[in-house]
Amino acid sequence: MLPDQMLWLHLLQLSDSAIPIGTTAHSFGLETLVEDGVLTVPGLADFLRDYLAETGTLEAVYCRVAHALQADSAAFLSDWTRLNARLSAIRTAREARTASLTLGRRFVQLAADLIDPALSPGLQRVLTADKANIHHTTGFGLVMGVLAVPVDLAVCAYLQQTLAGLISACQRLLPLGQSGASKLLWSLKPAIIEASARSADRTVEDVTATTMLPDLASMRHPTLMTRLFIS
Amino acid sequence: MKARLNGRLALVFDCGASGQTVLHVREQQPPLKVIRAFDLPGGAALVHLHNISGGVLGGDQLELDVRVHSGARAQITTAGATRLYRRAADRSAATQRTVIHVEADAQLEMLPDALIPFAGSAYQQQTTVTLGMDAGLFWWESVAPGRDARGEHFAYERLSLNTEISVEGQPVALEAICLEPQRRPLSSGFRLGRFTHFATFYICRVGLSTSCWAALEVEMMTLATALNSPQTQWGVSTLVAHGLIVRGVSLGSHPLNSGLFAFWDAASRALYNRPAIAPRKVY
Repeated sequence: MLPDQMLWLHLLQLSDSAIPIGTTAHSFGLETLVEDGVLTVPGLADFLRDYLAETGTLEAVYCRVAHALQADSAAFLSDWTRLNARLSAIRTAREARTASLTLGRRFVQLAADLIDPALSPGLQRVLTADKANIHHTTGFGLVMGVLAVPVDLAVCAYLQQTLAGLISACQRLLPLGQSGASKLLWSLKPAIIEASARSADRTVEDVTATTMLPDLASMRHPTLMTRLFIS
Repeated sequence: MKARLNGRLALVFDCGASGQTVLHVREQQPPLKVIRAFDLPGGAALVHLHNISGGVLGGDQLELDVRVHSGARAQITTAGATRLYRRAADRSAATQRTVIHVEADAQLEMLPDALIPFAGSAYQQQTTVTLGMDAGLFWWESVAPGRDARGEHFAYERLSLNTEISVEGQPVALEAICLEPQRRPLSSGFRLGRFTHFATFYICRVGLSTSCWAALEVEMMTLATALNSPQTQWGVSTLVAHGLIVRGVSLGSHPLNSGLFAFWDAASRALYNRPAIAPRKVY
């Protein structure tokens, strides 16, 4: 077990939205929604609150399950593979699926480079087995489990990291300044905690997410005339 | 909470000696019923599903089991829109469990009319599809906001739609949505926004390469772009393997119906080199 101060410092670094895994290249369909006029600055807080209630809760469930996986158990790799395959099947929009897998692979690779290999056999095993099938949320959960970050804290940190990434994308797509972005992220912390708490009562079998317009936006993203983002 | 009816229908489609697909009704328990199969050009069998209650009542527990044997081709549709009636206070949510097996070299076109959830209805649908090698699936589903003609929109209590499509134990598409308009407004830009109707269309053929699906995604997305309008939006994406998904949202049912047919026809030509043959109904 790491001392508390070290655990906090590790958590702060790995959950920073500026962590170098390529988050800033992805809007997960927000670019299309802005182009369509669906997403505007006045409606952003409600939109992101719904994001946390739907996608946020879903991803939080997967983050929790990954956090609980034990690298030394016989079923570890099969459970891990099944978890990520299930999430790939849920993410039916190709761009969003690919983005999540890209961020997940980079996140786990970065963490494996940073953390003492003796403490993180699970990270090495998943990278060796199939590094192309690691979602961001499951990768984050796995790393947080390795570091023994308490699961509720880990889930909230993941949700804040992804939310900060989306708000950052909105800053480049909408007339949203730095101060406004900071206030927005600050104001959504109760919704982050709610999503995390909701996810604690759900399983991968019963969690639901209603995400029609973002899915559609992600599917239509490749057809935009000009694009700032990969997804 | 009381349940009402336990309806069950078990259908098997076999490839006959002549190459014509033959329907066997293994089990038929009201209110679910089929009358007969119609031969379609090319050897497929068309079946209309009937609900002799006229709709799904609160507490109904309905089960549909479909098995398309190797080499057979089936087309299943409904006799009309599926009306989901208001749930009485002492009734549980209505449930529809559908289990579909499409065996190797078989094909299923599952083309039901829209679900219409009436005010106060509560409905839970669970659909599981397993596909064998080179099996084909065209399956769409569309959902209206309620009794549109009388301006009833999103007055239902709950609509849960769960779908799993898998190939050799691997999921290729999973969907679990729960619409509770009174608790979580569907007008949110994260859900339906200004749109009222939505549809999902799964197009699968097991064994085709990733590059083949990527090319079809481009072709179908071109069609989607041509069909898009201020009233209707379509999107297309490759699934994780073996197929595509088409999603649509609209302000009305007609653009969704005509769009679904256009995607079906284009995909059928691309995957099977034959046009789609619409069921004997007027779209």
